[in-house]
Amino acid sequence: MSDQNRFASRRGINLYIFSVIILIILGLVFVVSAWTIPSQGLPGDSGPRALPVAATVLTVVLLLACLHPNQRLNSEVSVSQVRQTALLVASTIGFCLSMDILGYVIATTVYATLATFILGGRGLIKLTFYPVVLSLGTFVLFRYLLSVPLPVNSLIGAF
Amino acid sequence: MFEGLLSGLGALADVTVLIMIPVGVVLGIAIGAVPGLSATVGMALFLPFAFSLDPLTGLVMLLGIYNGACYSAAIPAVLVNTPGSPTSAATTLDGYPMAMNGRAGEALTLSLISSVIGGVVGGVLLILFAPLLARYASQFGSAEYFAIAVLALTMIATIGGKGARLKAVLSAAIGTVVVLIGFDPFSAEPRMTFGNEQMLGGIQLIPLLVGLFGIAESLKQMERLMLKPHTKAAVGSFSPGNRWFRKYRKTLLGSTAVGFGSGLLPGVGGDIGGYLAYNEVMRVSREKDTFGKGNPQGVVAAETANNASNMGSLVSTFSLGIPGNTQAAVLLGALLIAGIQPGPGLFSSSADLVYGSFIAMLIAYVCLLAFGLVGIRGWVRLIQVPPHFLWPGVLLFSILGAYAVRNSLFDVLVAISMGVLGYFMSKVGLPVPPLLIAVIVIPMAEENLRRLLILNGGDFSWILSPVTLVILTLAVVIVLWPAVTPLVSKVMSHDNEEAAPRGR
Repeated sequence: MSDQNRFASRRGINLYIFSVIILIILGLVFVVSAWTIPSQGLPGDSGPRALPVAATVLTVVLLLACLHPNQRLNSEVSVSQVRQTALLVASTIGFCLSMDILGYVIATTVYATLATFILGGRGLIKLTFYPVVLSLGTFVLFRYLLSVPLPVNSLIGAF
Repeated sequence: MFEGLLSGLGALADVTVLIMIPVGVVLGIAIGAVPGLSATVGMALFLPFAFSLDPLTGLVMLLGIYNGACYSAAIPAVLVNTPGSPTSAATTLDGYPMAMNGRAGEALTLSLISSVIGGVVGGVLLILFAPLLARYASQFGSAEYFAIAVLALTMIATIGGKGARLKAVLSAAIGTVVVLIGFDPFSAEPRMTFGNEQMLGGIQLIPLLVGLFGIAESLKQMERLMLKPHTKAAVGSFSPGNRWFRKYRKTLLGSTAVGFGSGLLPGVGGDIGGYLAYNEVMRVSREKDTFGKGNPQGVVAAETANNASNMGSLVSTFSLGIPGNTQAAVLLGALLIAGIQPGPGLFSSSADLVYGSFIAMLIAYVCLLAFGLVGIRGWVRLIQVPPHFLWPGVLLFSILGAYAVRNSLFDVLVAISMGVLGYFMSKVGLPVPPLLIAVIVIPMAEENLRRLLILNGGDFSWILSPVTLVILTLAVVIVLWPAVTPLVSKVMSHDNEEAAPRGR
C-alpha cells in the first residue's frame, strides 16, 4: 500500500472546530483582560480600553460566526499527524527551555535528532551526522559570524 | 528626484552593499524554489541578520531575497504544480501543463525572462511614482493618515469571496489584539499583558514574523510530509523559443501595467495581480481554449504581472508607510527596527537609503537574470531537498532568528506561540496577510485617531477635511460595494424583464 493510501485510509480528525474553539477560548481570555484596562484617558480621548475591548469582542464574535456550517472547511488530518505535530511543538518548547541548561550545541543535536526521527528520517547517518552538522554549523554561524551569544552548557561552561 | 538618484548611487558605492545584492538574490532564489518557503518566510528568517547590518545593506539584502524568491516561486509552480509562494499561483495554470507536455524548461526560461522584464519596468515605474506620491503625502496630517490606515484595512477585508471576507476581517482583528499588547501609547497603561513584565514592551515584530511564517509554515509542511510523496519532474529544453520577444511583447507590456496597477492598492499582492493579468490575456486572446492546457502566454502574463505588482506594492510602502503586501510589511518592520520611519519624510531625510534600495532592486534583477540563466538546472534540484532535513532546519533557523534579536528565550517562546497561532489559523482558513497588515497599520490608525480626538476635545469635525473625506468615502464605498452590486444587478435584471414584454 502506498504512503498516501495508508494515511488516507486512517480515521481522521477535523481540526477546524477544534482550532476555532481553541481560538475562542483564547479570545475570551483576552476579552476579560481587555475589560480590566482602566477606561479613563486624556480629555477627549477614547481611552486605552476602547480599542482592545472592541478588537477582542469582534474577534470572539467572528470566531463564533466561523462555527456556522457555511464557513467550515475540511481540515481533516489523521490521528498520527496530530500526534506528530503535537510532539514537534512539545519538543520545540522543550528544546527552548533546555537550551539554558544543556547549552546550545547539545540541546540542538538532541532536538534535531528527535525532529528528524518524528518526520520519518531513519538510519544512523540521518539521525546522527545531520543533527551534529546542523547544530555545529548554526553554532559557528551565529556565535562567531553573527556574534550572537548562544546559551552555553551550565555544567561545563561551553557549547 | 535626480539628486536622490545620485545620492542613492553614491550610497551603493560600498563593497558590502554591492555584495549583499547578489547574496540576497541567491538566497531568494534558493528560498523561493522550495514549496512553502515563500519570500515572506525567507525575509522573516533573515530579518534578524539584516538587522545586524547597517540599514541600507540589510534592506538591499532583504530586497534581493524579495526579488529572487518572487521569480523562483515559479520553479515548483511549473515542475510540481505547487507554487513556491502564492504570488506564482497563476503560473501553475499553464506552467504545469507545459511541464506535462515536456516543455518545463521553456516555461522556466520564459518565467525568468518575464519576471525580469516585469520587475525592471515595475522598478522604473516605482522610481517615478513613489516620490510623486510622497511629495503629495508630505502635506498629510493625522486625519489623512488615519483615513489611509482605514482604507488599507478595508481593502484587505474586501479581498476574496464572501467567506474569505469574514475570515480576512477576523484575521485583521486577531492582528489588532496582538499588536495592542503592551503599554498604551498615550496613558502608559499596560494592556492585555497578564501581569508579565516582558510583555509590557509589546510583541516584538521579529518573533511575530518568524513565528507566523517560519514556525507555522514548518509545522504545516511537516504535517503534509506524511501525505505528499516527494516528486521528481522532467525538465526538457530551456530555450524560450524563436522570436520570443516579438511573440510576447504585448503580453509583457499589458501584464506589467495590470500587475503594477494592482500592486499600488494596499493589501493587493502579486497573486491577485498575476490572476488579473492572466485573465486579461486570456480574454483578449484568439486562442482562449489553449489556456490552462500549456499556453506559454499564460506563464508570461502571470510572472510579468506578479513581479510588476511586487514593485507597485513598494510605492505605498515607501511613500506612505502602508505595506502594499505581506513582504512589504516585513520590509517596513525592518525599517522600523532600524529606527527609520517610513513615509513621505523618508524621501527627504534618507534619500540615499530610498533611492539606493530602488537602484539596488534594478541591479538585483540583472543578477537574477544572470543567476537564473546560469544556474537554472541547479535551482530545479532545490525542490528535491529531502523534507525531513529541510523543515527541522527551517524551524531551528526560525528559533535562532527570534533569539538573536535580544538574546531572549522569552522572544523564542513568543515566536513558538505565534507559530502555533498561525497553525490553528491555517486550520480555520484564516489568511495571515490581513493579520500582518493590521499589526503594521493599527498602531498608526489608533495613534492618529486618538491624537486628533485629544487635540479636538473629542470632536470629529476633522473628518470634513477634503482629502480625509474623500479617502474615508472611498473606504465606505469599498466596504459596501460587495453588498450593493448584487442589489444593482437584481434591479437591472428586473428592469430588463419588465422591458422585454413591452418590446415584444
